[in-house]
Amino acid sequence: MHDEILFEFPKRAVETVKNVLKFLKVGEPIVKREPKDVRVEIPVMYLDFAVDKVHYDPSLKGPSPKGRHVKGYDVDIEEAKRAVENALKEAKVLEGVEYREAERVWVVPVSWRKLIVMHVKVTYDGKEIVPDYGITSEVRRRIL
Amino acid sequence: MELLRKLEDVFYRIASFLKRERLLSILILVYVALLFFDSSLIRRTPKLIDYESIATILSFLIVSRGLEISGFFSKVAGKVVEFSRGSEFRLLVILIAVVTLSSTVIMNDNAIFVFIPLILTISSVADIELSKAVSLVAIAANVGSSLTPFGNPQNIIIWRKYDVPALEFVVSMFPFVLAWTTLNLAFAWKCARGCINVSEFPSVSVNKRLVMLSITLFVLNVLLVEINLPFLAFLITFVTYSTLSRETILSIDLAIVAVFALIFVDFGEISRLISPHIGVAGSNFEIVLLSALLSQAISNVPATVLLSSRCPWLPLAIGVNLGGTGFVIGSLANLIAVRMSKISLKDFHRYSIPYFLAATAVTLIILIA
Repeated sequence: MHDEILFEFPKRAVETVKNVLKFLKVGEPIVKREPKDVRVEIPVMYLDFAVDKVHYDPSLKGPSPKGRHVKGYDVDIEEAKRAVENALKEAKVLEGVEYREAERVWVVPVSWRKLIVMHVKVTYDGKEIVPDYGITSEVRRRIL
Repeated sequence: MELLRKLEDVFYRIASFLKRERLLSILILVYVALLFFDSSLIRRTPKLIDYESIATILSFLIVSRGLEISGFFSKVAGKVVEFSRGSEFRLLVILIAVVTLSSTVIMNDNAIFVFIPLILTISSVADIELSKAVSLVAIAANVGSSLTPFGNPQNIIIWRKYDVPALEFVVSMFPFVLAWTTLNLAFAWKCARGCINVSEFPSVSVNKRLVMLSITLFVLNVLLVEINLPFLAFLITFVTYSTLSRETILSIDLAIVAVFALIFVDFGEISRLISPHIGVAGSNFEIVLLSALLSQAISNVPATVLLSSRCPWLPLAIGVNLGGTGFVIGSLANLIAVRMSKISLKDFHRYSIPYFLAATAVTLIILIA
C-alpha cells in the first residue's frame, strides 16, 4: 500500500492529466476591472468543469506564471483568450506531484515554456479529475 | 485626465453590465416603456410579481445545479460515449435519450451545461457535425423538461398557477413528450452519417455528498411545493446549500431573480393592457398554436406569463413547451447551447426550425385524433 501511495498513484495522476491535456479548452475570460487597470484570468475547462485559471500578462501577451498576478490598462480580451488557447496546445505536464491532505488530491503542475501556468487536481487513486468548484461557479454565473 | 478615466470606467461598467445581462437589460427597457404608457405601473409592480413561483423556480434551480456540479451527470456523459461503440447514430440516440431523461429532473438549461461540453469534447476527437449534435441535444433538453412540472420555469409557473397535481401533469404531458422524442430520434436517424472514432477520456470525480444532498432536497421540494409551501422549500434549500455547499449557491447568477421578477411584471402588465381587446380561450388546437407561435417570438417563459390566466393549463403547457424548440429565442436552454458551443444561428436553425414545424404538425394531429 505504501508503495502504491508513493509511486503508483502519483504516476497514475500524472498520466491522467496527460490524457486530459488535449481536451482542455479555455472558458470565457474573467475580467476584473479596477479603477486604474484590468486583470484578466482565463478559466481552463475540462468537460463542463473548470480545473484552474491562467493569469494573462498583457505586456508579454501570454500566460503569466502561477502566483504572478499581472494587471494592464488596455487589454484585448480576445487576444488574451487566443494566447492562452495557443499556450494550452504547447503545454506540458510535469513529471511530479504535490499532495494536499485536506482535499485528498494530487496536484499536477502544467507548464508552458518553463513556466508553471496551472495546476490540475486528481483524486487520491490518480484516476479522476477533481474540478475547481470555485472557478466553475464563477464560469457558470457568467455564461449568458 | 483623472475625471476622463473615471468617466471611461463608468461607461465601461455600464457597457459590460448591458453586455453581460442582455436579457435583464431588455426587460428593464420594456418596463421603462410600459411606465411611459401608464405611470401607475410603479404602484402595481409589487403585486404583479408571483413570489411563490419565483421561490419555486429558485429552489429547483439550486437543487438541479447542485446535482449538475456534483459531477454525477458528467460520469453518465462518459458512459454515453462508451456505449456508442463508434456509431454516430447510436451516439446521437443515446445522447438524446439521456438528455431527455436527465432534463426531466435537472431542468433543461442544466442538462445543456452538462452535455454541450461533452459534445464539444467528442467533436474535437471525432468527425461529428457539431451543429447537428448541439441542435438535437438542445431539442432533447427542451422536450424532456416538458414532462415534469419542475422540468423548466414555464412548467413551474403553470404547476403553481393552476394548482395541477404533479402526477396529473406528467400523465397528461406524456403522449406529447413521447411523440416529440420519437420525432427527435427520427431526425437523428435521418442525419446520422456512419462511423466515428472516439478515444477514451478520464472522468471527473463525483461529489457523492452533494449528490445525496441534492436528491434529498429535490424530493423535499416536490413535496413542499405540492402542499403549497414554496417559501419553506426555498428557505430550506437556500440555508442547506449555503451551509453545506456554498459553491452551488455561488454558481447561480442572482440576476436571474430580477429577470423572472421583471418577466412577471412586464408580461403581466402587457396581459392587462391587451385584455379588453383580446380574449384567448378558444379550442385546444388554437391555444396550442397561439402559445407555440408566441413562444417563437418572445420566448416561452414570457409567453406563459402572458397567457396563463386566459386559457386551460394543458394546451398552454403543450404550446409553450413546443415553442421552446424552433427559433433560438424560444427557450433559455437554446441560447445557452448556442453560446457554449459557438455554432452559428443559421446552423442551429437548420435543424431546429424543421423540427419545430414537424413537431407542431404531429402535435396538432394528436390533438385532432
